[in-house]
Amino acid sequence: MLFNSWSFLLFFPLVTAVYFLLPHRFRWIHLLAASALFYAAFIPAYLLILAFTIGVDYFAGIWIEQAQGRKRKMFLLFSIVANVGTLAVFKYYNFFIENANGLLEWLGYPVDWSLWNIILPVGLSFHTFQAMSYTIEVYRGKQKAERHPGIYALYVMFYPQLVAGPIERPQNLLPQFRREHTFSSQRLADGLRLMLWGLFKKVVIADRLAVYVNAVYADPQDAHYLNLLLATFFFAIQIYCDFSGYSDMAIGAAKTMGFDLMTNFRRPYFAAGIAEFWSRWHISLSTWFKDYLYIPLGGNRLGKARTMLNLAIVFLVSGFWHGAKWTFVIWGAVHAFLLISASLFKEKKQEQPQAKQLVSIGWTFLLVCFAWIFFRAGSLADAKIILHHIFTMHEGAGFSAVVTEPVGRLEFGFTSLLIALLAMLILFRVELRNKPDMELIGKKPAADFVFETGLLLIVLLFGVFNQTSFIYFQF
Amino acid sequence: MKKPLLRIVFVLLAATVAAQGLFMLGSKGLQRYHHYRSHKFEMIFHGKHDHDLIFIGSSRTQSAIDPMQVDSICGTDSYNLGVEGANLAEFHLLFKAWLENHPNPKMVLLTLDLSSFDLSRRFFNPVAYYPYLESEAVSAAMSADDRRPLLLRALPFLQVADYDDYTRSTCFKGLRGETDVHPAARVFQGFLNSDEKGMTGADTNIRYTTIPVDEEAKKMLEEIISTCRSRNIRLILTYAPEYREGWQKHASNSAKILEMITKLAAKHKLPFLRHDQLDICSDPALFVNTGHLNKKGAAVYSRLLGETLRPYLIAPRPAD
Repeated sequence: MLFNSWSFLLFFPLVTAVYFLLPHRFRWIHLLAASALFYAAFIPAYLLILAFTIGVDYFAGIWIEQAQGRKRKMFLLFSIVANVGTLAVFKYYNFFIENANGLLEWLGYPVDWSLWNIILPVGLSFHTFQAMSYTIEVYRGKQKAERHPGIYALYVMFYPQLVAGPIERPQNLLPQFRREHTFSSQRLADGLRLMLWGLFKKVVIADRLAVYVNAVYADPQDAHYLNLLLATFFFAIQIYCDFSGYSDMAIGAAKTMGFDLMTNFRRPYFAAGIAEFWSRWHISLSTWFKDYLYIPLGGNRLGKARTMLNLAIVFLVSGFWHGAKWTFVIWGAVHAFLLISASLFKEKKQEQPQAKQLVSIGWTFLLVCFAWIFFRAGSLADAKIILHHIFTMHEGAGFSAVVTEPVGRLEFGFTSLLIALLAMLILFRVELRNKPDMELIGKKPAADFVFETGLLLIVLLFGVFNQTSFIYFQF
Repeated sequence: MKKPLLRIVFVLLAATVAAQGLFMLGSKGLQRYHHYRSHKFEMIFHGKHDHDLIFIGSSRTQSAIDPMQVDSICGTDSYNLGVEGANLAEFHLLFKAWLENHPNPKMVLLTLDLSSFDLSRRFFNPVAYYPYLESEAVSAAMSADDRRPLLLRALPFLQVADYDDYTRSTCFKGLRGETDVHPAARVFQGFLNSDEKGMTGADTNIRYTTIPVDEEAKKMLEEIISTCRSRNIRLILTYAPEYREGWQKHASNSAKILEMITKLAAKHKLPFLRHDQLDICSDPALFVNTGHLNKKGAAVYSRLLGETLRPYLIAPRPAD
């Protein structure tokens, strides 16, 4: 079920209301059933995959806690192999087969291993990573194994963050299912505001810009370099609004029921360096990789060369986590290169003058946009064409900031451009002035009222409600 | 405790009232901008006229059949129900809606295109039908397209959710007094002529494709046929004029579709008039593009059509 769908408009208030009407001891059953329904709305059969990973990690957690010595490690390994194996089968199988076919043909041993015609289970990478963080934390002794299978299942399946995060840690989320939440109208208002803000980012900005981006990136061969630059800039805004919009809605929906999920974005495009960007972008994944890959690899404790190697490994894996395509791996590699370069030329931390700070922010944004080209391009060949056209200022079919030929059923005309630009101005201003969770201080009730009413009105009148899926669902 | 809840209620109320107000204003703009279409839909959904001949089809009907020309030959009072981009789902809806409000016509001329059986996009412009959700035909068709007619009637401002940015811009244009009909255009009984210019060079708008044929569309055609039969309305199927079979050449399955229509017409003993075979179809001066006649072409074709239809209007309907 999509957050930007009519069915969710019915689902959300119903689930929230029933949650508070039920006695605490039954609430987990209600949330688990609602989460299953939410996930089944995509493809019901994929609930079986979820059930498999939940079953494996539930028992693995208990076994790890009960075992001693090497057995603990074996059970952890069992859990990791099961989770990574699930990912490998459903997400990476075709990628490996395709590449094996190509490699063996190149070596002179042509084979024709057939591909698997399967739709990737929605949000697979998210919930397997969340499940893995549980068994790792139990292994580390920082989390007690959850004995209640329903509560553990809810930890993996909690509907607001089931399909696109934030990827939670057991220490934060599990105790919240045991806590009795009382209804708070303030939390309801805060949660709804955050959901509305997320919806604004998704349906007013992201889905509108997507029309232009999709049109340009679908056929880069004859595109004007300015079209490609504009589409790349729009994609940077689109993916931020799409993904952070989802996170806002997830955090907001959880908040209305009394749950606190971790912050996933902190104004990433205001970062004044690549390292800072990664401390602000998809925080739940960055910290996951830091805690469970970078630090176990040695982090920055084993000298400069090893630190660089560790960074490269983390970002290559992160790229691969995003999708089974070489473009994502290259995207990860570009970020690894940028981060390593930045660490080599790192100046001592000191207060920068504002002008220099602004230049750093602009430069970081440009570098991030450059990397987005690989992330968005349909193939490596497309990425190569796009970069070639941009750097040679290829004029192709002429520049146009609009797309008048409909893409699907939509077009991106001057009205779309105008609405998108105005909405981006609102985004810029609001993000600059508010905390990431949009908590207003409440000192200006009239201003809050005008802001919320205006935002709802903009969503109603200018939202693109063609129920486009979220970009990160595919991961 | 009460304050945040009150604020939520007030925000919802204020936004709903403002959205409804702006929606009504925008709808006015939309109707003004598309005043030709609005007038036609008013006629279809709210009119009570006794027309004895109606023409159902897409833009190829809308811009090709001038009721005045046909009436002058046949002595009828006809109306052109052609709607831009319409397929069988819309033909079915329009015919049902017409019968909901008007007396039975004597004859229906249904112009089928190659894409009439493709229901992948059931409505070319669903928003155009929203002001008429109270019509049973519209409500049923919208439900079949997952468009929640009850909700849209209860909270009309939610209709904006289905607007695209082009529609939003036409709201403003209409409020500014602009319209999509050129001042020199001829508008008569649902007819709206295309440009005056003739074809120059190849039509670049055509794409090479295989056109889907939906079983549901076939059923809709069968339903139109059986309704005509039960109400004693003579039904004639046509294929509109086309410059040198230009559209057919670009669809890999055009022969199959035309054969299917021919067989269906034979099965139901209905005439199927292939007007793509007329002599006028080789004159580029009569077309604005491969599939559409221009102003002059419409006049020529409408007279030819009048001559063709006259015998059918006089002759008794063959026994089933």
